[in-house]
Amino acid sequence: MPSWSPTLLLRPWRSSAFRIQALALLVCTLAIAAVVLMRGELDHRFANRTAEAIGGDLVLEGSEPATEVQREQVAALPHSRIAAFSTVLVQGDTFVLTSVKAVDKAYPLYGELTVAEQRFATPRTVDQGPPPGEVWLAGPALDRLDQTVGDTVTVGERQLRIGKVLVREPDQGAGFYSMSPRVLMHLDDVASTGVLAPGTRVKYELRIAAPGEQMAGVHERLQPTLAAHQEIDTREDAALRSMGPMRQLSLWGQLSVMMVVLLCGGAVYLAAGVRSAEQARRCAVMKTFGAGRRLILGQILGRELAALLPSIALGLVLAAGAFLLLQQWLGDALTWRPSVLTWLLLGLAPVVIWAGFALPRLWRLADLPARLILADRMEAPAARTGRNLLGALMAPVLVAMMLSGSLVALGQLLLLMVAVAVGMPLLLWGPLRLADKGGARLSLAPRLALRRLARRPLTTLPMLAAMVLALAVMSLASQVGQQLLGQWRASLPEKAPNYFVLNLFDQDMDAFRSWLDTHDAEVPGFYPVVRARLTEVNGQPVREAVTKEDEDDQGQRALNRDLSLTQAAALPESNRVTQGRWVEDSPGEVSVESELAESLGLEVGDELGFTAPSGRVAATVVGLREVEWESFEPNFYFMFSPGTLESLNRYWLTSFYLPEGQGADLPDLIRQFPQITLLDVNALLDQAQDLIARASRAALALAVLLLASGVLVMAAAWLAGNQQRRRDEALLRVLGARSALLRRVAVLEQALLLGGAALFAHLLHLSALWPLGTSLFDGDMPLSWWILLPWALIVPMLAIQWLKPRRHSAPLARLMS
Amino acid sequence: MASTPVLVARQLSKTVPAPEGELTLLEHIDLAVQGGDTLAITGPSGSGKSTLLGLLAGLDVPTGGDVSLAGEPFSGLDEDARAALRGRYCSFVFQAFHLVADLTALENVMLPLEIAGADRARDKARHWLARVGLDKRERHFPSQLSGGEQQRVALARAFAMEPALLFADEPTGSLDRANGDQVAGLLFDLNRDHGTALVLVTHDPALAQHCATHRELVEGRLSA
Repeated sequence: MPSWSPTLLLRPWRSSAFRIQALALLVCTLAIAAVVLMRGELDHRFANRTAEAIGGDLVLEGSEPATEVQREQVAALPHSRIAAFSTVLVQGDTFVLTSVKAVDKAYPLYGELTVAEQRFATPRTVDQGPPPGEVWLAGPALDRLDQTVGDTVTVGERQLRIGKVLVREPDQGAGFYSMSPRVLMHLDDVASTGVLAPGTRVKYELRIAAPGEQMAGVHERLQPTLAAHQEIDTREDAALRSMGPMRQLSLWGQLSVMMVVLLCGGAVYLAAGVRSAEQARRCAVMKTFGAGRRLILGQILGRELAALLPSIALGLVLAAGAFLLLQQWLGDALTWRPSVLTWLLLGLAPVVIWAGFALPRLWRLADLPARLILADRMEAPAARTGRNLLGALMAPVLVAMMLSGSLVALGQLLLLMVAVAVGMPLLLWGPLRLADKGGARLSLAPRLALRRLARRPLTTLPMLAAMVLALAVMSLASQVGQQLLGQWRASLPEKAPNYFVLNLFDQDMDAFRSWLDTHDAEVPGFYPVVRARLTEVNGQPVREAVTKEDEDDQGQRALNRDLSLTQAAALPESNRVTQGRWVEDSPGEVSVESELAESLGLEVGDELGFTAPSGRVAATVVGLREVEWESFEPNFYFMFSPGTLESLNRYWLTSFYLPEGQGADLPDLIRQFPQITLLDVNALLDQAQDLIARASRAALALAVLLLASGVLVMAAAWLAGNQQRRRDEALLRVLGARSALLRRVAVLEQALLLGGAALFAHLLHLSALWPLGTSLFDGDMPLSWWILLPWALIVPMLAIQWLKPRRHSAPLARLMS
Repeated sequence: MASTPVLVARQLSKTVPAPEGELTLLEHIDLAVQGGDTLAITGPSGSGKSTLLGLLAGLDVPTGGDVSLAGEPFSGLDEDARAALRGRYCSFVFQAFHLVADLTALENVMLPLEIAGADRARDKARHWLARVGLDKRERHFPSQLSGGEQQRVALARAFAMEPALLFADEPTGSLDRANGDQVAGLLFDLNRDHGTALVLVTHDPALAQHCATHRELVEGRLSA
């Protein structure tokens, strides 16, 4: 019976190959666990954030309140009822159109309300809406009414006391985004105001807190009860509609996990080869003395795995520590506690990696005849190596399934991984053979270096493939990380406009510009706006020209309402021409938003006719544009060339950035220009910027983790070939070689290996730009200097190799070792 | 040169640290080998034969005494200078062959010539491969050769440098009788033809009998 004493479990640690394997598994465990925990944390935070943004995990919406039956279905869960409508507040002779949200005492289910006791006073958070008899008004409403906290205001037939200034709602983005200032009141007061009559446009919501798995059950129970006017929105639907950073981060996280798994698998595979050779003699001796297959496998594989378990455990502990740090770094208290199953899967993942990459090479020992091992003729046939490699690829696939729960979502990534792992050694084999043939005329040092690499394909190719992958992942990780950060920051610059102004007329413009100058407000531009309907396409009435019948279709919706048309000389920064060109400086041209154009079937060259109350306008479509709607800049479906809209009645739209401290001057602005609509988007902007800041930190952490695992795995791969290198050096020493020759051979070998790996990493980087660009950056991922990053690592490594003092141990001892 | 011994060892000792204290492997070894001499050192396993050979060839450093090759002492030399001294005067044949697995038979024979910067290394290597009967196998890698063939390549590599002194450590120890006899015959033929001094370490009395001088190593001491 095999003995399992602690001493026997410590013994493998004397082998450098075992230590490499243990290190690779530690890195692998740490990376997988850290990335999975980070993704779990981010997903959880994001789910919370989206639930907060729509006001619940699940929202039943309708033009009438939820029925008694529906309320009974959710009675056991925290829930809240909301009614949202527009109404006019009256104070003396002043009327202000407001957007009202009437809430019950359970509101808000998630997040907190931010309020102030006075306009521009320091805000604080509260966890409930206003009590009955009270309204909370957003600042602009107070400014227009010229009221303050403590005054009363008339809502329909009721006088309600202004209790607080409403600064921010957690569900600000929940479809109530309106041009009118927000008012929050208690749901019980709505009936007494009499503002809701039959035909009034009102949206009722029943919001339910159903975290985690509960959501699906509630959805299932409510679905059969839905009336025609009702629909259900969930946090998952909202997440799909949400901003890009989280989608990008999630995809990038998945890709990172796969890359780390593949890298570490490569290192384990290389180290296992050395380990197999080390164990071979013991195995042969056991066979010679009649040990059975089970005993050999138990002794060799069982002890090997048992001795590796502390590394895996240490990886998990480190990952848990990193996870706690990450949670603190991302801010807020601990929000997500991984389940026992998650920890079990994380512990199992490196075992699966080891089983896939190392097990076949060690298992082979049980099948090899002892005489081959003892005669030192145990090289694996190439076909077996190919099978081992293919078998090893199943390990990351299994890990991917374990971690993601789905192969479909990872289809592209798995294809990429298989292509890289199988295709790369095949791809590298040709150039390596060519270099070997061409190297016959080289001097001794480069020839020896080349021979070492080219004539050990079973060692060199997996090592080279691991290095290519490591270097490519490093440069790609850096570029992707930097581009994600850059893109997110660019989409919401520090001084993104925090106020939008509508209804500015020509006669107001000079005074308005002067006010902006006085307040150092930064203005991206002024857009003239004409309200008009699209009435003709290529001379035909639009109803005949456009055949789509779907009322939910974007194009149909656009046809059923007045559109905001504008004209501009320059393409806005957040727009990108996807077809045709931007308008020229002559009237009669129009650029159309690409999705709307597709929906309406519009193409470049079409003639469009628009009808406005003040006249008609015609223009030719010269190009289509992609619009970044989340950009916090004014965006338009139809943008005309300068001069096209001159004859029509228009108003001006602009946005500007005003530093936070100057907000107190806004009431003056409203009093000076009473007809303007001033939209305060500070709260939305804060939410978006906060989201981006957190996503940026996570992307940075991910890139650092990938870089670190790449460096560690590359070092492990290099160390795996070290033993043979040292024996070769000893033999050269015996044959009279001096240090200078050994140094030249070693440096040239490294230069060939690392330089070749870097060149192929460049190719891999280049070929990954398109798929990565498509999945993460809407196709826009240009070549960058980051591609040269591997050289920043390689040059110092070669310099160290060149400058480091050589060990002068006795060559005989090294040769005999 | 003829009057200077090609190899001299004086009071050579080697101790290594062990759990029980210092362990003496070799003690007060004195020997001298003239050009063309053949010396067999025999002894039971573990008597220190290979350690002695390593010290004589400057592959290991003694803890006492000194070794000179052609009058030039190893003592005080760094690893590079010792390698240069070896390269000038001596060659090796090992029990485990120690061919470079990545190089063909021809390239293995060329290796010491190239290290020494010899002219026409390829031609010389071809000549020596032919001399050991392997001219048809020059493009084969070690893994494609039998044990006997590998040792013959090692012999060609050793003699290609036309050394004054050849160290052979159990040269037939890994071979069957037929191959062993063939390699031994070749070793002594080449030695005789080229006047090379030979220091042969073996536990095989039959092989030792081919040498002019025979000394036995027992418990770290060399018989007279």
